[in-house]
Amino acid sequence: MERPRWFAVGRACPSDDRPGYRAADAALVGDDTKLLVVFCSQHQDVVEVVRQISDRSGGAPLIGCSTAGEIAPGGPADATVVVAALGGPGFSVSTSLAEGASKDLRGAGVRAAAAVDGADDAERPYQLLMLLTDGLAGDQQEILRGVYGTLGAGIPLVGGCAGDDLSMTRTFQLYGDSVHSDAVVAAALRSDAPLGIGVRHGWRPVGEPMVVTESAGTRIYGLDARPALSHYLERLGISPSECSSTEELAQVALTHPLGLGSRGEEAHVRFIAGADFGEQSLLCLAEIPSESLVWIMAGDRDSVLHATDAACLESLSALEGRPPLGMLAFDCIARRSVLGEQGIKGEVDRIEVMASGAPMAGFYTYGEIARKKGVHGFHNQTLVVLSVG
Amino acid sequence: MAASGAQGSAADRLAQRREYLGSFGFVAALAASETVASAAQQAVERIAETFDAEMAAIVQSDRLIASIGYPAGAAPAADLWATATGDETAILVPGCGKCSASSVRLEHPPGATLVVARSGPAGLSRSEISFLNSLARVLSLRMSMLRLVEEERALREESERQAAEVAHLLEILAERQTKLEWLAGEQAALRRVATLVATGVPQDRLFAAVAEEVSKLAKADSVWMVRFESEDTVVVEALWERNPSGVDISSGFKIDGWYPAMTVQRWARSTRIDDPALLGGEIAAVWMRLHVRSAVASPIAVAGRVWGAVVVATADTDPMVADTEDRVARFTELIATAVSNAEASVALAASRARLVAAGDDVRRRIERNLHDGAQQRLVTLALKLRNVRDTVPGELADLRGQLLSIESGMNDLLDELREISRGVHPAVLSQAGLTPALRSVARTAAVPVRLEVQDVKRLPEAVEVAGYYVVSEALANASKHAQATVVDVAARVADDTLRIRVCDDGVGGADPALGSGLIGLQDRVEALGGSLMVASAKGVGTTIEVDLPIAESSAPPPALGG
Repeated sequence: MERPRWFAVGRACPSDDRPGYRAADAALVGDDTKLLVVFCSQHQDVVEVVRQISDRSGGAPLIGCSTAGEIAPGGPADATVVVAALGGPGFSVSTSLAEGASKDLRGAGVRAAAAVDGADDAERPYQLLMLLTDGLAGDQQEILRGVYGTLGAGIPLVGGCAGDDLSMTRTFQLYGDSVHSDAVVAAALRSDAPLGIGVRHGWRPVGEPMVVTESAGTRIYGLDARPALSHYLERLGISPSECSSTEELAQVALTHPLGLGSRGEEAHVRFIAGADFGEQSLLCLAEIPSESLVWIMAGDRDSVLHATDAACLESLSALEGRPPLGMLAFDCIARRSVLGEQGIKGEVDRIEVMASGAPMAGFYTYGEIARKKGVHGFHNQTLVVLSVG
Repeated sequence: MAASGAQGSAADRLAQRREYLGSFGFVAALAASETVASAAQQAVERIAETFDAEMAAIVQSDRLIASIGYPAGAAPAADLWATATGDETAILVPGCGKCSASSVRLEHPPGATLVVARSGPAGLSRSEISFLNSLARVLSLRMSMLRLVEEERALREESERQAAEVAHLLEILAERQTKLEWLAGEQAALRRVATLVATGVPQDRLFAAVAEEVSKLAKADSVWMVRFESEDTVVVEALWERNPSGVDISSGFKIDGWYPAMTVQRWARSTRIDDPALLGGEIAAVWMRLHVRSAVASPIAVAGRVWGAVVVATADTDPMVADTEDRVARFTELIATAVSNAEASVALAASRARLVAAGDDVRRRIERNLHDGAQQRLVTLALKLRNVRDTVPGELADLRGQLLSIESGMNDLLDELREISRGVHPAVLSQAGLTPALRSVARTAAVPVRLEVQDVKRLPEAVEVAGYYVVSEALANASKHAQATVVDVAARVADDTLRIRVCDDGVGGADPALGSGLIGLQDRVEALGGSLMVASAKGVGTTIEVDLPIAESSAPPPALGG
């Protein structure tokens, strides 16, 4: 009997011959494939992998990206290929590609949002736009402004920023049978059944907020009218001599990101990616608007893992009591650093448990995208879970 | 709220602080906007972000100025206006259902209202609305300023557009003026050349004039007027050069390698060459010396054959303008007419000369026949008669008287015959030349003649004969028709021309057109390339002036015109 809607995940390991074929064969278990979502390590031959998958899928819509680690049943892994596929008559999908994102971030968002216009069946009751962006292209919130300005509040957004195993040089976006950089790929997904989004990070604000008194893009120069780095460290009770190198700062920043206030939700976390010790500035992974209020956030392994459960439950709660067909996880690379290798294995185990046997896939990102309400949709150090009902 | 668990008053203080800080970003975004439309769009986006509201819009009546939260182009302006006027307190926002809406009137644009809607059970708090009012005032001020700037800009752009239009029109006018002037110049040049053609100036003068006129109109550095002497030789009839180079054109050029000329000769059409490296033959070296870069050649077609060409050349790096061929062609048509006229004129003159010469031959033969035949026999008969008379005895006085009478009659007859033969072709003219012949005719004229001859030695026979007949006819006319009492005859040679002037004091009124012997004289004179002028006003006598070119050849020199 034909399943009206289906979701499956396939994975190929580094040692597998022809990994694209292998992962695709494992994922393409049903008829009428509507969408393939591919998370591929740059340790693989990305172009060849995409060719092999397209070869198997018969040209079904495909979006994907390179990662900082891949998530699939069995746990997190590196250098693998993960293919999630969904299909059946209960889904409608259209995809889009916007290149040259770094030159016009907002315009790339506008062009990526065009995927929604291409969805062939606007009558399905549930819909969202999945976005996979180049995390190195620039301020991701600006891309989301373009998307929101085009789509409005009616379309939830979900997705993540492509990674490159922390080499921070170049990420890939996959579209159809082609491979791009500095691009945004998007899939408008419409479904007869609910689609649930969960967003959690497990960090909490500590102490009084600070005012960002000077910033430009993702760099903060001043906090409370004082040099940003020294003020940040002082708030944490760390003397400059205890944190005078990039490595030492990375250790501190890992467990003390900044939080931006947001109505009725967890504060949006902004991961501190680095600092300029000379000019005493902090570099974040996303824009910190000048004159905004920020908190120093604190968390630990337990709170972060607790957030995993909370994100999954939040996404599942939207399914109106139905079990999920499958789940996709967009997990910040910084959480991986906080949790450690054992921790992330435990996290993926928890997601699998929450999925109740439904297939799940995901990747470690350079930033997460989730907008259900309000206008802000870009996150750091956060787990975003999409449950497909 | 992020600061969950904080005291209410602390939360309020935090909210106030955030609003206070949010206004900085709002103002900065507005300041960066350069148009009313972009300021409005920035404002709704910033306000949505500041209040974390899904929707913000600015409406003016049912006209939407800016919005965020709806799909692009799908904002419901009428519903928003109903919210703005207070008719509705909630509005449907996609994905959020009915949301509580707050609206704030803007001072600018007049009648515009800012509407903000946020999901959740409650709308904006009182303090948030207060803050929204503050932002609305800033926005109004900024939009008002930008409106002024836009109006000023529109005014300036309109002014610049008008200035550009005027400049464009002036440019067109100047172009047309230039074109008009150029056309007028061309017409004037054509008229000058046409006048030269009509007045029949010598060919070399005409060609030189055409070459110069063409050079001005075509902005050429040299203009070559060539005639195809044979299939492989070109004669340069005229050459105009901006900077005379001293190029030797006296012996013409071989046509081989001179592709513009070859094309014209072969295909009878205009052609151009923009790469002098393609040239060969004799002309290649000459043109290289003249730095010719491009050239246009147009055919001169006379009576269906290519007679020659006008070749226009320039040393300019830019090729000759596109319509140079047409410009030159207008002149070649005139040249063709002139050449055709000249050739017809030469043919006519030659024909006249042949007729006159044939007549003179007949006259000369008659005179010789009379002299050698009838005259000699009459002289012989008269001598014999005298001998017979001498032998008649004295007693036959009657017979002697009769013989004497016959003898006298014969002498009269002989004189008459001599007179006739002299009128036909005086032997003295052939034997001694024009000066004795004129003296003879003056001596025997019926009217007293004052003859003045200067430096007239032997001349070509045709010239002597023509001069003689001019004077003979003029003297005959003076005695027969003019009732003149004296005639002045002057003959001299100057500038290779025999100039004769016959002037009487008769009644005047002579007109060659009325069929006098003057017509014959005119034909005879013009057959030799000469000219005859008659002035004969009534009552003031008649003056005839004749110029006869003294040419070695019997054919007259070429002349143009009728």
